Amino acid sequence: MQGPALAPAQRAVVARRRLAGEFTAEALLEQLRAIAGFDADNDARRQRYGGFAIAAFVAVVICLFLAIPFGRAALVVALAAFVAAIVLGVLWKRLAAADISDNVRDVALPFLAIVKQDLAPGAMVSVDLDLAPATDAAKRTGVSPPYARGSYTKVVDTSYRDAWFSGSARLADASVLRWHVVDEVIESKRSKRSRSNKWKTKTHEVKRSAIAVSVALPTKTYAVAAGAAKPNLKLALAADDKRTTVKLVRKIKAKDLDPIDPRALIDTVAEAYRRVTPARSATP
Amino acid sequence: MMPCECKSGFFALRDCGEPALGQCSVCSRTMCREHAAIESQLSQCRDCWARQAQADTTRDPNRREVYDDDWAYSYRHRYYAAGYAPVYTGHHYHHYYDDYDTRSFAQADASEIDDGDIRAGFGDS
Repeated sequence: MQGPALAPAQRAVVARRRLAGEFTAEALLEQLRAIAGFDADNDARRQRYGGFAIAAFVAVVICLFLAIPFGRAALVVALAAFVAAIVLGVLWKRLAAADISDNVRDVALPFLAIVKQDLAPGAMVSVDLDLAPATDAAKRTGVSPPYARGSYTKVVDTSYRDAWFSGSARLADASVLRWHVVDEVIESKRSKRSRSNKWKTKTHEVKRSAIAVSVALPTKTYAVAAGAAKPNLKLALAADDKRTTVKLVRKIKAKDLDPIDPRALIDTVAEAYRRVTPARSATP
Repeated sequence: MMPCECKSGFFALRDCGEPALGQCSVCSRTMCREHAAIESQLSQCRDCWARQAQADTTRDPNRREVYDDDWAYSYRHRYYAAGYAPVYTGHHYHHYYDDYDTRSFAQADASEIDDGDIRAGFGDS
């Protein structure tokens, strides 16, 4: 995936950090591919600039030491390295401000590419995709008062709620698919004094993702068997004259903020379809 | 004109319905433009191309995915091979999908379905 230049509309999406509306699958995927390519390039450049900025800062320190034996020449190099470190730091910060959640390219894009296969050509998909990272300040739901835990004398837990992906689509088999993904994050900053009497802080993260999927299956086409759900899934069935709706909720725990495996979302939809057989009236 | 024998869909397979423009050089199914793999110069269907691409060990595993239709067909093959038996809602079954143990035909009455092929997979799916 090459990092394409973003079209003005795509730039606006990245600036707003939200993509919401009704799109054809082709148009939606095209937008997401461009945004994902931009984000991947952004990440790579940020990593590079960050590395160079640290190297320039280290060079400043070394040159200041070398200034004792080498005098002015080392000071000039130190000054140049300092300016480079500042410029790279500013560039890094600008790129960090434009960073979007990896959920877009690692989960939403592959999931929608799969959903597209079950859409009739030209069918619309409704999506609401939040591009901001899970620990964005706007998603903060609470901060605990500082407390002590084990060897850490000060622990502060910050919780976030990131309802980042929801959508719906009418599939080619006349089923209606809806999905909703919410991440609950607890970021724990744990500080303690080291032996050298300096404060050291570590950050731990815990993420709980809830994937809710409903598939409203036309009774004319499918017979739905209730059956027991898999241990990690909650299942509910609702039926009326026209449709049987299979509702599934899956929860996933992780000790980092990495995106969930898109397969978890695909599996949850597949679980609804595992319960169906063609209705007798549907066979030709 | 012969219809395309490839199937669309992921969670549920359905007939493509488009007129065929050629025949896959690997599986001999008729295929429409949408179901022909462009990278194969339209000589193979997307399913066969995806299977072949997956077997290609020279492919860089770290390359960035583009998540296009070719990727989706490749993923579909992997997903079905890993145990998902897709439900089929169409009228013209093809034995190509027998490997995936497509569910509907194990349950439906064989005499009701026009598969156009003696190996439609009723008994062996």
